[in-house]
Amino acid sequence: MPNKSLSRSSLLSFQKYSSLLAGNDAYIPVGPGFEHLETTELGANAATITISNIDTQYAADYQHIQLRMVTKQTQSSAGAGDLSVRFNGVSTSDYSWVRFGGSGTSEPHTHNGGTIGSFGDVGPYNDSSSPNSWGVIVMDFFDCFDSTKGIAAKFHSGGINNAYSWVNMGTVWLNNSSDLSSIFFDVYDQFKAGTRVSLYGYRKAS
Amino acid sequence: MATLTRVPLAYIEISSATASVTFGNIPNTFRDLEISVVGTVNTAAEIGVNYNGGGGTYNYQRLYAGAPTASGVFGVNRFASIYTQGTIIKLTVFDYAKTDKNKTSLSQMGDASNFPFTGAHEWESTAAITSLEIAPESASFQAGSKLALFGVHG
Repeated sequence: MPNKSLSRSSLLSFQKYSSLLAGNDAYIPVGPGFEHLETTELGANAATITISNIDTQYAADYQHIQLRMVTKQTQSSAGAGDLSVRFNGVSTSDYSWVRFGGSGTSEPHTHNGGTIGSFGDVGPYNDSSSPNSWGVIVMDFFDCFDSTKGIAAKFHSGGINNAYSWVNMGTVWLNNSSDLSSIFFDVYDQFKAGTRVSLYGYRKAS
Repeated sequence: MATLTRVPLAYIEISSATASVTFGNIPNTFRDLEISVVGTVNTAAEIGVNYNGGGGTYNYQRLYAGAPTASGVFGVNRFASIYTQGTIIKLTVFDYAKTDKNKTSLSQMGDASNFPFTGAHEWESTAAITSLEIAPESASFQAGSKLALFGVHG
């Protein structure tokens, strides 16, 4: 069978049809190696959220993990509350975190440590004046399946409601060398139904 | 066959001075949207985004790095600044197709000689986003500017 001539090429869709692929489906690579792994969406309010078995499911294929969260707290007052995090179930005083942010015209920057990491204000409260406002956070865990290193996450978060606005950037670090196996989130009150957490993986170089 | 997680939906390279760029017919099959802008304008300007043809209330909180204080204000739909030299901007819109949430987004911006900043933004609407317009205020994108829209599964 003679080879077909080039019929279609698109960098945008990562598709390429050429004579070498005549008769075959286009080869679609895994793009930049950024892949959706799992999503949890709360069907009911929940006091905490835990993403488990991360290492057992993903350590073999991925090097970095990204987490995206859209969240809101159930507390019925104005403002927003801290979102806290623990890794691997560790509750000893091995966490450090630093963040800087903007809220209104102030520029808070804080550094602290303790038994839990903090992202600062992330989840807007469920006040009646802004019932549909949600906060967002993106966390990047670099080299999180190297058991010779502590667990470090860079984060970028923000949100706005009628009473409060904020944007934060910072890092949370657990001084406990191990693979990332679980991520635990806590808030003052509860996470509202509809909160979602998505995990993405960056593939290891092959 | 592998499925892309971050899918290119549209890409525009400006060939002559253009006041705004609109991405339409955005499918509701993704979880988040990402918009990237690499470009220049004829005069330094704020750059804004309007969803679904405009309208509604937009709020933002921004944080400048390198400035004496943060500049945090409630405003309209401005999500970044853009300059006459090359500026790069990324905007991520979360849960853009959800009809029970206002639309929250995060932005990051930087260029060669002005301070970078990051921002959080809200469009006070629960409508699914089906189109978005990006426009510098009182300025025009210059030839060679590139804008791209991605859908992110999740």
